[in-house]
Amino acid sequence: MLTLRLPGRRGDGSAAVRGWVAFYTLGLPRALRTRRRDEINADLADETLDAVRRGRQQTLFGQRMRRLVRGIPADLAWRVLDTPTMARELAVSDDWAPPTRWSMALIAIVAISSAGGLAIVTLPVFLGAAGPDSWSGWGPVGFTIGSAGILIGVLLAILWPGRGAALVVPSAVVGFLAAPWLLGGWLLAIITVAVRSYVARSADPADVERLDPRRRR
Amino acid sequence: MRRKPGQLVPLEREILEAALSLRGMGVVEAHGFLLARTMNAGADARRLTAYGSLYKALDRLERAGLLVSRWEDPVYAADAARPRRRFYRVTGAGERAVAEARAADPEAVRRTAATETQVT
Repeated sequence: MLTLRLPGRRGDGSAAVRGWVAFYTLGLPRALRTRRRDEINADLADETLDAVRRGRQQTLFGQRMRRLVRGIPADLAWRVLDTPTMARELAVSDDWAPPTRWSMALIAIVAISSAGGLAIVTLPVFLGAAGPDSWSGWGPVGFTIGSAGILIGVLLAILWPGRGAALVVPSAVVGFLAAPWLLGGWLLAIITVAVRSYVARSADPADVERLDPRRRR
Repeated sequence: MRRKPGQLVPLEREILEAALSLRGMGVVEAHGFLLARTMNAGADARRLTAYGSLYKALDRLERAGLLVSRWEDPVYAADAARPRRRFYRVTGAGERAVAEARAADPEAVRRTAATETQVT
């Protein structure tokens, strides 16, 4: 069996190619990113093997640089024009992606905070302990609507990230208009659903399996 | 590049021709580098198709249903001490597209089985 130290061989140009691929695939859904990176990695290995067989290791660097540079326009076109469609096709999958530990922790923090805020503002009303000025003006109403929307939205986002985000974002805007001094809290709610949506899109097991059979059970 | 739906650009046609040529030699599924090498075998063997152009075209052909692909068994790749390959196979629609392209432009670049010795 011919065994080569294929990845990262010094001076053969493979590191430059891998670096470029890593750069232009940044931020793509994991399935797309992994597929392109693995495919180029395999190509580099086969190219090295081919050069060894032909005794052309000396010309390998130049060949790789030519292939890399000539392909840059196509790489950029793929990234800008093709991947948005491919990512959308992945995102419409019905399969549920469980939240990661981090996104679940954020959801818990936001849910507990908004439930606490709701309780502080609304409980006195229900308990009859509210003073005559407690509900005067738009502030408490907006705060209540915003907090309730965020609470429902982040819980919804566990099952349906897109729907959760669709509820949380306008609720946070309403909450901000009512209580701008809580800007950090409203932003945290938006960041939470954004993280949840991103992670769900990137890690959807069905998508990963479809494009990456290595993960099949 | 603007083109009619279903029409192959030269690179796509070359890829499909290379895959069909390999199939004629008994290689039913081919990985990216082998396709690049086959496409190039008849011309300047040092001027392989660029990474970006090749894999973008393969993506496009697959989404158009002219090719299907699968990952190599990782155990087999690990045994060979190299990264796993992605294998491509021409579909019936791919064959028809090549036949139509040949009929429309018989003088276009075609790779033949004569490349066999250079790719194996």
